[in-house]
Parts: sequence; structure tokens; C-alpha cells
Amino acid sequence: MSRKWMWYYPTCLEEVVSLLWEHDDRAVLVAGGTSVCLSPPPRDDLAMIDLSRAKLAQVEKEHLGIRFGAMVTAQELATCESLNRVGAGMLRETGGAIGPRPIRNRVTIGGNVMQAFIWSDLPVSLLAINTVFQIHGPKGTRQLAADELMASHPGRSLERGEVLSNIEVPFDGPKTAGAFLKLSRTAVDHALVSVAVFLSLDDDDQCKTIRVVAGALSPLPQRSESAEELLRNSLLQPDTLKEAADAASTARIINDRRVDADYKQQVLGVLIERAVNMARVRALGETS
Amino acid sequence: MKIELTLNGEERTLDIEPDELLASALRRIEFKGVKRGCQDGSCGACTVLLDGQAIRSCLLFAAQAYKRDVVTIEGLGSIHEPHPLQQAFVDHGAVQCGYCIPGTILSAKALLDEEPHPKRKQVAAALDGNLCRCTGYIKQIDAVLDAAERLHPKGN
Repeated sequence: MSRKWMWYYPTCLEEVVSLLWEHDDRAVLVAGGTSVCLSPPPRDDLAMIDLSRAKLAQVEKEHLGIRFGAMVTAQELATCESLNRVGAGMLRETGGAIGPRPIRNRVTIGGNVMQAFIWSDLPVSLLAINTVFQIHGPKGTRQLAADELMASHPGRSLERGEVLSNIEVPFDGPKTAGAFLKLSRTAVDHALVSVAVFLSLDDDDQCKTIRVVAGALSPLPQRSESAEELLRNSLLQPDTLKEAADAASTARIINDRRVDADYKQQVLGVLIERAVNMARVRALGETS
Repeated sequence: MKIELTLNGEERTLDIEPDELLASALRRIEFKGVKRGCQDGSCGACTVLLDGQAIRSCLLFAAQAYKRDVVTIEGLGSIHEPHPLQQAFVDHGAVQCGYCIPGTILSAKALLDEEPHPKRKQVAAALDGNLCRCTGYIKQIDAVLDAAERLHPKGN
């Protein structure tokens, strides 16, 4: 017997906000639909809000960076050439790693961030860049940095009637680059472990700023602050990378029925070394 | 609830349940070429085209197809008038049990619409989401490359 859901097809952001406010805890935002199809909330009276016609998929290139609407897809990120200037292409790498083409055609920035499954890829890279998220609601628009949004499950940061509308990512400054790496069982599977690195070098090629984020270890992506501390102000040479990888192994790793925590811990270290080195090479303008 | 959409080139109004998946709705109407495999988006047997893009019909509610353009394998060609992709798959022996084939061909169609002369690697990447237990994929990739040539002969 089917459930008595109502479907809505808002054509602008204000309408989305109004529907969210009106339907409150019965409201379900449907972006690509890939996760809500598999596990819809167990209620008969849902208000399903199809976001695909609300003009939330714009890509706006500005002087200092790019603004993406929350409905921009993983495939669009993967093929966005302007993103070569953000983390030297790390968001293209991330978008391109989210499953095979039919999945990438549907997974959206907003859905991937707000659902924040343990294996979700975009939250890891967006946290590494400390992306700015725009939230729109009944009182207008506010901004949250990734550090704030991902301190707890992103859904918790939104009030009644609010929706993630855009993200903003800055173009790289000089000697700035990033990298995203993911281990999965097949090339197109969910992450078992993922790492995103975003760094900048000073005039002497020493690491000036660095953010190292690990994903798929625990419910939310984690900064590896102990690794960052060792890497900052260093020349990012192999010894230092090894030390940082060891330091990162103290990350919180929860049980995963697919592979055990020991294996994830080992792989984490390897991915950190590789990702930091990739980012370093890119920041120096060398071809890796 | 009723939705209007374009289905295999025809404007149609469908009666659907609000929580019905597109894969189920399509099969229920008549389009058995849409296959049920994993039912969680991993295998690709349910792949259809939505506004020209390959997507998982098991991961879309039928209601999301409102005013969209949906193409199943039946919309591509028939046994009497096969699409060059379908003919190429037959000619290359790229079909064994046949279960993955509708989805695979639709993924290939989406690729060729975007990239008329793909390299082998691009074909492999486009078909990455269509699991096949029978063929080992080589002949499928050969077939797609051949179909590309048939559809858009180089030198034209």
C-alpha cells in the first residue's frame, strides 16, 4: 500500500523556504534523490520537495572565486574547468570520484554535504578548503564556514525553513594547491578511507598553511591536527610526511563492517603521505 | 497522482504512486527492458536516460520524472529497427545473458551523444557503472567504439 506523500515542485528558493516552513518535520528535500529513495523517513504524510526546478544549480564565476548552487552535480564539478584554480583541481578530483557516471549525474553538492554519510566525499574536500556555505531561510541568508557546519552533523546547523543554497570556494593564491585521494573496493565504490589536503607554500617553498582532512573513518570528516602541526613550516620532505602519517594514525576510527580499523589506519597514513606530496608538487607548479 | 512526461518520444500522462520508484513504474506500464538488479544503485541494470543523461531508475521516484524526458531501451530501437548500438552489440558478440545490456547500451548512448568519437578509456569509464557477470566487458567496449564509427563516420 502506497504512502500518502504530497509532491511539490518549487521554482525558486523562496518557495523552497516557504514549503520547508509550512511542512516543518514532514518536509523532505529531494535533490538528486539517490539517498532518499533508499531510506525515506518512515512517515506516511511526507511533503516531498523536488529541488530540481528551483534554479539552484547555477555556477557563478567571480573575481575571487566561484559560487556553486547546492543542486550542482558531482559530474558538473568533475568537468568544471574553472575549478582547476581551486585547490589545483581537487574538487574536480572529488566530484569525479563519487561513483560511476549515472551516480555522479544525480549526486548534488547540497545532498552530499547535508546527508554527510560516513563515506561521503565532498564534505572531506570542502572541509579541507574551509568552504563557505550559504544558508537561506525565512530571515534571509547567513553564512557558515565548513569548520562550523561540520562540527556536528550538518542537518543540526539548520533551523526550521532553512536550506543550503550555495557554496563559495576561493581561487588559489600563489603556491596554493590541494589533492583528494580515496580508497574504495572498486574504482566506483563508496570510500573506505579518504583524505583531502589543502596547502600553501611560502617563498622558500616551506609549508605556510595546511589542512589535512580524513574521511570515512567516523561519522564526520576529521581534521588531522597532529599531522598538520608537523607539516606546517616544513619543506614537506618524505621524512616529515612519514612522521605526519604516523601522527595521524591516532585518528578516531569506528568499526566498519567492510574493513577493520587496523587496515583503515594503515591506509590513512599512506593516503596522507601521497596526498600531501601531490599537493606540494602542484603548489610548486611541477607536473606530478 | 498523475504526472506528465515525455516517455520514449511520446507525451504521456502516467498514474503513479507518490512513493513509487521510476524503475517500478516503467516496468509496470510496459517497459520490461528496465531491469531490477541490486535495487540500490550499484549494478546499473536499471539505467535509463533522463533528459539525455544516464541515471539509475531505481534511485529516482517516478514523481521526479514530472515534465522530464525519459528514454528506455525500447525507445532506442526495436528488433526490426535496431539502433546502431544495439546492432553493434549483436555483431560483436557483446551480449550473453542480456540482463545488463539495456542499461549498458543506454550508458553508451549517453556517452556517444556527448562524445561522438570517444577513446577506449572514455568508453570504459562511461560503462563503469554497468556491471556484467558474463562478458568481461571487452566486446562491449569494442561494440561501442564500432557503433560510434557507424553513427559518425570519421572523415565526414
